Amino acid sequence: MSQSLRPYLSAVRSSLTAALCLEDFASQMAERHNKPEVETQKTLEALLNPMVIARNENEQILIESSINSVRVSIKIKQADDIEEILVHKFTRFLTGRAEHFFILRRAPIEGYDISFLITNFHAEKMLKHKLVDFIIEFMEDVDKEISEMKLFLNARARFVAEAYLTPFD
Amino acid sequence: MEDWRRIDIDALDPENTMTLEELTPEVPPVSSQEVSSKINNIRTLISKGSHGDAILLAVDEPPYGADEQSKELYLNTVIDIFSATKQTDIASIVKSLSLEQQNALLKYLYKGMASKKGQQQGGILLAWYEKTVEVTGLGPVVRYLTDRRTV
Repeated sequence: MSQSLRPYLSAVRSSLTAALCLEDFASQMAERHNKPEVETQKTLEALLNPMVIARNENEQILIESSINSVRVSIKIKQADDIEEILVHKFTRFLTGRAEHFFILRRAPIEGYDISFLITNFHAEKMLKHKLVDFIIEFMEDVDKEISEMKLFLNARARFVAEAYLTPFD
Repeated sequence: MEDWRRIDIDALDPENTMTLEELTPEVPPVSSQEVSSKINNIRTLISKGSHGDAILLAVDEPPYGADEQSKELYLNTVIDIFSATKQTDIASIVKSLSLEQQNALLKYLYKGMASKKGQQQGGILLAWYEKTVEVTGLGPVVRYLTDRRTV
């Protein structure tokens, strides 16, 4: 793990651990409703200060917290056009299957590539430290995955170009 | 006239919701002159090389009641101290702060990471953050989340 990645992930870990203190909270707007307060943004007293943790301008994470839900949005590093396309495809692939992913939000927040929404119901069903671990692991793996895909794509492009150009040799 | 069915009547009832003003605690107003004189004091300390004292001055009674522009200037100064301080000194500086000052320090770290200038020096702020949380534990993080007095 590189030198600057470790403090980044540890900062995310402690911030998430502090933010993930969720309890059941009925909507104050509509009776018998229970909505993630961080999504409705209507009940100001139930919202907490948002936290931004940035490694640099292209890699940051936004944690918005409220009494019964936490929204975690990740900006994935995109150095060039290929990575931009890969990240877009990759996040679309995941969000398209958000149903099976429980905590994944179907659409990312503006300015970020992928968002998670953890509600108190998730926190009741799943272990808190495992949820934190999952987010951290996701952040580690997604960078690895993208750079791997980029290498694979380049190798494949080279092979295709070679095969295509052999007849003209 | 606009469609009256779409008017959110609950929002018009002041009894129904709490406004941001009601939720923000009273803080004494700080004028921009006071902030700029404090910034000057901090800058002198930075140029003298006593970064520990600069941090101490910066996080002691931060200007909660100042306007956004002076807060921005103040934040930039605090980020300058962060980047001027040697990495090895961080832990001892944080240990010398009181609880209230540590809370303010963490507020500046979070705000710094949300600002453009802080993001360019992400590595430095993250090092500060890591060392601070190592000393203080999660307390200041939770207090940052819930405190409505913003820096």
